[in-house]
Amino acid sequence: MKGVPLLALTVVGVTLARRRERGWLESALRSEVERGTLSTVELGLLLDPTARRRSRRDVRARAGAGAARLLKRLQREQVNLAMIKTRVETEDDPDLERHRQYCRSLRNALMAVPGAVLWASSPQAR
Amino acid sequence: MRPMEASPGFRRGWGRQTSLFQFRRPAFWAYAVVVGGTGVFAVGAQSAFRQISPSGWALSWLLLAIYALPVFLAVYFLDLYEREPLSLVFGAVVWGAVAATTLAGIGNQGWGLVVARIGTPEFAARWTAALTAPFVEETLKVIGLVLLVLIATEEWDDVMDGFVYGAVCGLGFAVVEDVFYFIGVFGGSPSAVLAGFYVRVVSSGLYGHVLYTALSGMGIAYFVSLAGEVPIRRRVLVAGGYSWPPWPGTSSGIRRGSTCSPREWKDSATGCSSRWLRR
Repeated sequence: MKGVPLLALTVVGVTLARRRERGWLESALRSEVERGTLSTVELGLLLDPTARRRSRRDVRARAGAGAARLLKRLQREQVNLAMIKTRVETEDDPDLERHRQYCRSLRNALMAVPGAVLWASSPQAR
Repeated sequence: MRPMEASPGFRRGWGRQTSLFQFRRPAFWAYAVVVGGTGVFAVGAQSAFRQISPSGWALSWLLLAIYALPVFLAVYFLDLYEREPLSLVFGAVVWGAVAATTLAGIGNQGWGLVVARIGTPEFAARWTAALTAPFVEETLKVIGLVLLVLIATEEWDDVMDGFVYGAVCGLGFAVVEDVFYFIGVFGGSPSAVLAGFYVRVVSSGLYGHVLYTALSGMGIAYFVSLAGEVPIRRRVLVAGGYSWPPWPGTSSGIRRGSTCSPREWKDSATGCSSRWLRR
């Protein structure tokens, strides 16, 4: 029982820290939405871990485990894109541009799977 | 060349990754020397425990692996976006497990003598562990975190980072300390190890050290990562607020002190006899 207040304090601290990180991620990727590197829906999924897991489950159900793996990789690379953005100095940095292309290619590969296209147009994906 | 758009809330440098092995930083060498030196003692202690009771020692590590692995993974994966470099994470674990435990053993013993000199031996036997051990242990774990800050300052860019490093440092400490208790205090036989596991891990509250050091880590991270954004007074206040965990440790020690007889304290090097722990 003596650990409960400490646990509560830790949970509050971690929740606040995660909210702050979500804000940073959103601000790093907002301009990428305008560029078309990722959609508003995809950004929303990245910001909500539960929705992110649910999206993978939906894709697995509709398009199979391979597509779910591809979506997981796409989401990880979109987060990496945000990390690269915070490291580089210019919007057209070669590393950043390369990673944008990579994310687009992953998304195209995912959309080539029939079930995944259905998922992308489903209300859950929106 | 278009400069990076500075949208509100944009955190420059967030995604930077650094490893533990910063050979040009004195803090890395301080870390390496302390871990290397205390590592010799720690390996010697584990080897002695293994000789006392090979089966009990193996069971201790097995039980503690079952206890530690899920929390390690949970802590590591809670950091959703910018996962910490594994070299630094394991560096924090090793500091907690090797350096902090070994130095805490020496420190607690030394402070025990000081308290005995100031008060009566009876008072020292009853209160030493309660009055000094939490401060010694928390201070040593925090020193490890401060060294990690000095080794890889740019990695400490958020409170979440402090949580991860602090929690895994506390986890390393808790595991090695528990092995010591299971063999050195409870006796080391497999049944004694199981009793020790129940008393120290299950019924005494899971992950105490993890929480204490996680909070200290969050305080340090708050202080470091918000330099230049938040006035130093506020940073000191908030960091201090996060880093009060030695106090709950002390209060539990006081409760422990008030329920043990001096003889029970003398029974063990750490001041907690197996008789009391088995109650």
